[in-house]
Amino acid sequence: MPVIPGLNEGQVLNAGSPVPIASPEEARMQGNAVARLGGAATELGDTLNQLARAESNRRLRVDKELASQSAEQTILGEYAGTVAAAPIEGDRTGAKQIEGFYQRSAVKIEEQAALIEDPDVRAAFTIEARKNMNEYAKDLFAKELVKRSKQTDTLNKKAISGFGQMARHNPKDTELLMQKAELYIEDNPDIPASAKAEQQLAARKQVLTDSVNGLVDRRNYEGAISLVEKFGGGVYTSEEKDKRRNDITTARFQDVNRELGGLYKMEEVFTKNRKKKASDAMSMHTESLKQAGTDPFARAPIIKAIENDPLLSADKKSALKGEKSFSKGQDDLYDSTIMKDVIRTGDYQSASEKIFDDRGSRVSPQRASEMVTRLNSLKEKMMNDPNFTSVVKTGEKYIRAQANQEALAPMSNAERKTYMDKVERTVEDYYKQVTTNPKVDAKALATGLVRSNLDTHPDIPRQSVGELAQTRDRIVQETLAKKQQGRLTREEEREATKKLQGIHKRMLEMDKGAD
Amino acid sequence: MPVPLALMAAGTAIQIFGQYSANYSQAQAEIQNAQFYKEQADFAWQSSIRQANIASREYEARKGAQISAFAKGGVDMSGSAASVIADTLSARSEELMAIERKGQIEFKLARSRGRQAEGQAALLQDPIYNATQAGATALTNYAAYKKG
Repeated sequence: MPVIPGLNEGQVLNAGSPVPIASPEEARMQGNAVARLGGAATELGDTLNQLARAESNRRLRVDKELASQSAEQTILGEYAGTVAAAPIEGDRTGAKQIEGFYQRSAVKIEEQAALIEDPDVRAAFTIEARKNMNEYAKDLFAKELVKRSKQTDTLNKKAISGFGQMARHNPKDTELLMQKAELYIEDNPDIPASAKAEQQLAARKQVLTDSVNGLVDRRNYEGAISLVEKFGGGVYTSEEKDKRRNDITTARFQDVNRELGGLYKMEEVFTKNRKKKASDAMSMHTESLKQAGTDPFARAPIIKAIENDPLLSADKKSALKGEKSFSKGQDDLYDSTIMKDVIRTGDYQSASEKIFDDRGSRVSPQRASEMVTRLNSLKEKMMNDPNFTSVVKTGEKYIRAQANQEALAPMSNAERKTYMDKVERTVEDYYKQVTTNPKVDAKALATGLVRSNLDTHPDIPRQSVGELAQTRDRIVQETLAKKQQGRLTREEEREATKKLQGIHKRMLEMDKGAD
Repeated sequence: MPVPLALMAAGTAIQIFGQYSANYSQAQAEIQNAQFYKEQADFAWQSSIRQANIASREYEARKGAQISAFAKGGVDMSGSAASVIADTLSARSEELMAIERKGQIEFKLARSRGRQAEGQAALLQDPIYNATQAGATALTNYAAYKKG
């Protein structure tokens, strides 16, 4: 209870700390939102502006590049035209052209720059164009040097090649042309002194090689080899010299082989054609005779045509005419037997009578007439030369002695038989020739027949035509292989050539024999 | 006029308007606050006077009661009785001084905030301030446009 009633006046009023009633930040919110809207719009505009500026810059750059390229093309086009037209003699290194290019480029750049309105673009173009021109010029300078150098080389090579061509056509002038080529290089101011010796050697080599090749082309292999021997010493290394020699020998062998092959082929074709023609002629005459029948008037011209036909042998003519057929072998055997008897007995009278009796029955009439003629001259010889008979007999013995054990041992039975037949044919041939021409040296004849028929090529195996062809190919291959390996001596080379010729000859003989 | 430039110009205008609008709204809020701070200061002043009066009257009543009590008890008003009365008077004086001091501080605080709010409002409404701000915005956007 208050001390004095009524004095209690209630709660004390307290103002406290002052507080704001409005929030300035909140008050700003609306305005800030509007400001942010404006800011966003500005940013959008800025972005668009940047895009537009980028596009504009790009176009500007493209325009600038195009302008620059166009100017470069104009300048370089003019330069290329000038360089192409410039004579090489006046500016072998291209230095003058490059200098001119620099000067013209500077003028051209100024001209092109003057066409550009925008000063920024103009300045940029000028700087860039000069830079590009410099780069281009440096590149061109290097290229031009190489180009000019190549042109000079080409001209030199052409000149040396000219000497080589001349040497190819005139190998006897090889030495002179080699000297000329050397002089050309010596006097050529475009060839550095340090390179002259090397190029002179190369030139000598080229001239010599061309000359050698020219001789090889003409199949003058000996000449080519002697040229290599004569001048190759100072031009080729020993390896090159060997190689050249080997190449020439190889070419020679290939040539021989090719030629032999060609000859054989030609002979073969010729023989076939001849057989075919003979066969056709036989058919034609047979048909004509058949049509003529037995009428002697109709047959007469046909018989005459048969007799005059060079394609037909006497046997075939006889056969066609209806006469008894006599083969060449039969006639030869008869001829040989009679003539041997004559030589052995000296009784040519009996022989003459026998021939008369056998005419048309054991020997063909033609051969019989021929034998009688020979018998007369034989008679004369035997009367005049008492040694004739013994000499002829010795020749026969010599021929028969070829069929000795040593020759027959390596042969098969079939080969042996063929060889023995050949010996017999040689004897027959011998007698025929001796009796046909009794004045002949019988000993020399026998030796010659043996050499050509029986013992001409003792080192060539006695084989069939096909086997001989294989042997020939094998010899060629082996010889070429040796040649390529550098192991072929001159002696071997000559021997191989001789063998090949022997094989070829034997093949022709066998072919004729088979005919 | 290119679209980007037009867009940027419009955006800048809106931005400036927004900034001005924000300034205006904030200024109004600041003015309201200043007004209220002023009222709060007045209230603090009047409240302290009232509280001092109440305290004075209470001490007067207490002193009267003490004197009456001493008189009723036949106590001489000298010596310790006089000392008690003197203490009461001294306490009254201290209490009144404290109340007055507190009132002054509250008054000054409210007044000070009121003046700050008034100053802020005046600044936000100042045409030069707004023009400067708008100019800065416009210049910044123009620079961005040019920079592209």
